[in-house]
Amino acid sequence: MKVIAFAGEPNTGKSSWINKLAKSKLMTGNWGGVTVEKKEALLLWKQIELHLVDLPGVTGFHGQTDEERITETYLQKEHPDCIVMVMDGCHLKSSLRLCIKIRNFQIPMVGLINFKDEADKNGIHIELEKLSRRLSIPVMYGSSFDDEIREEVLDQIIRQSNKQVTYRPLLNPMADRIFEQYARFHPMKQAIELFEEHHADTALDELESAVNSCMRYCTGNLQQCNDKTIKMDTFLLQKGKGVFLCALLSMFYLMLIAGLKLSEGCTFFSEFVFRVLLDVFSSSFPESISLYCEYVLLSGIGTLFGFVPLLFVLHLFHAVIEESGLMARLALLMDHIMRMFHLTGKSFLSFLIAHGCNVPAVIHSTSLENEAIRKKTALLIPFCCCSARFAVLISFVNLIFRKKKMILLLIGYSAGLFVILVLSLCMNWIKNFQVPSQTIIQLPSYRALQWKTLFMKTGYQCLDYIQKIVYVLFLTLSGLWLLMNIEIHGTSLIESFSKSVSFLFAPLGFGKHWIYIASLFPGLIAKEASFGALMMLQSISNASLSSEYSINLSYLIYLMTTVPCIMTLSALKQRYGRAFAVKSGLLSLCISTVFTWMMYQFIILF
Amino acid sequence: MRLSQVRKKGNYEIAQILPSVFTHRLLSFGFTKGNKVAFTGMIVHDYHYVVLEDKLLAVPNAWCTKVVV
Ligand SMILES: Nc1nc2c(ncn2[C@@H]2O[C@H](COP(=O)(O)OP(=O)(O)OP(=O)(O)O)[C@@H](O)[C@H]2O)c(=O)[nH]1
Ligand SMILES: [Mg+2]
Repeated sequence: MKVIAFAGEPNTGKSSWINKLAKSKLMTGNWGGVTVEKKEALLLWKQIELHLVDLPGVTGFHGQTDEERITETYLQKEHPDCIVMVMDGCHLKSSLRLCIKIRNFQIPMVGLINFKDEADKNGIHIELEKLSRRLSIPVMYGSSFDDEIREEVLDQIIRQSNKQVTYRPLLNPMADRIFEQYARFHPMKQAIELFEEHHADTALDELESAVNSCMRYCTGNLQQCNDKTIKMDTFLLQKGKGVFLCALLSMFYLMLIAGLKLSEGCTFFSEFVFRVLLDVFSSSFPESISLYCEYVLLSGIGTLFGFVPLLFVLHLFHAVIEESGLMARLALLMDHIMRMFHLTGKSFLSFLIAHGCNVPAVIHSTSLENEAIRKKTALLIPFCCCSARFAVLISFVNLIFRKKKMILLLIGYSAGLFVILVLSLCMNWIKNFQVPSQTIIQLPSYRALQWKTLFMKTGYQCLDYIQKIVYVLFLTLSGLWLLMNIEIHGTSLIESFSKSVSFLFAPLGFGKHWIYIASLFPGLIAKEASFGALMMLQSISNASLSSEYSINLSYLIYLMTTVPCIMTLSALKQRYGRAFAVKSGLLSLCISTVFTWMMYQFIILF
Repeated sequence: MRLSQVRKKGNYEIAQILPSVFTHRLLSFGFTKGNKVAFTGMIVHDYHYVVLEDKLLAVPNAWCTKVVV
């Protein structure tokens, strides 16, 4: 078994290359800081097992950020068999600076210059052999989007990982003579450390001159790579800021409309398909099984399958923002506004991610600037309307309300956001969460959207959801069905339990409707299950959904802001500890109850 | 002149990095004596939008005061 670490600057395509080599599904996106934790993928190549380790992108090693600490500690302590240094062909200079620093770890290296497609467009030419010789590491040049050099890269990795290496620092003759005094008495790595410690200024100058000497082998109009991006930014971040934000909001609005339309069609279609399947097969089943099929499969799971196209639209919207390069710009533009609420642009990124799924958002929050802002952001993430809540929101609005659907959708969607901003202000009022001074935001180049990448990303997320239906939601609804069938004094267990806690929900308006209460519990496992359960319980029992506007709206707001699913809580526990996860759960429970109560009181006024 | 005082679009050479808590961060991005930094003419709220050699960066104005050009 060989352990291969992928290192490089942020946004150079490390995760994309691992996905290409190992056919894995690591998260990628056109902004720096997508990968903030060590991730792994496995691959068997020519009978050798390869562990590909994806490290967070770094610009140097000064232990200043968590990403730097994770990468440095891994390279130093775990000592992988080979490091694949992924570089950006369009921004080679800064990549080379890091490459020269990573040589100092004295681990066999393979240089992999990515983005050949874009570099070719800009007429960039790299003399690979000369560069390899200068760096004393094999350097390859390609794009993670095509298969051209995949096998060559894997072969080279295996060849290098069998080697023992000592990389001498790239120094001018004068500095080399000074370095020799250390190298004579110490192992290479230690000698370099001593040299850098005692001759810090010389070491810095030498690093720059080594980078410049390597850049001699790269020709073409390097500036051109940035020109288009700067032109677009000049418009989007300045004069066209309003247009930019309006365009995004319109895109979002269109997504909601598409969601609504899809929801109508898909629920109908999925019910139709399940009905036909049931009619064909269930006639031969005993009655209890056909009842189970009717309620759990048709009403519950059938509804949940109807969510797939909805989620596709939402994830596609997210993928477009992520891949185009807009994420970093949004962080920059929103930084100013978020600071008014004692948050930062990077917290806004976490919230944006949370609108897809809360779990990666919790992971992302660990990369924020300081401990206080991390914890604060992590506490607020569960209020975001994740894709599951989004699907429930649209389906519920479609099912219950006849008029003003768009306004209700917007209310449901922004309820969480409103809570986040108000809560953040209140939190600072109680305890002074220190908002960090700004950090450098790296702005990636704008990229033309690749339909293949977009559909692959979106497709994987939909597949994940289908897997979730099969493994998690199916079991959850079956469990609920079981509870529905266990009767005490003529009432089902779930009904009597829901009724016994109904006094808690009475102030929120929906206390009288036990199926609303019962449907909240499966939501702890996955938010989609709430809607599936509601549909299922409604068809099993004779209880019907409320026809009162205020009750339904109150239930909807509660669903949008209440305790997150168990996956989010476990992500919080893993990153911030058990006490924090419990605190977060209790906070969302209390805040959602108070907020829903206030909204309900407000609604019944009209 | 400090980078934060720069208002005119153009290329500047970094003359010095003043010691501060941000020094390491600035260095690792390549803010080093002798390197070139181009100001794009854009100031987005509290950030200077610059091109450092080949990288597009939004650098907090507070940090820019530590970069002498
Ligand atoms: N045009 C082009 N785009 C690429 C290529 N390789 C990766 N990308 C895109 O570059 C972006 C960054 O890729 P990632 O794999 O997320 O980069 P990373 O190095 O893992 O980034 P961090 O995790 O943030 O450190 C994504 O939008 C990819 O789709 C390539 O060869 N050509
Ligand atoms: Mg990555």
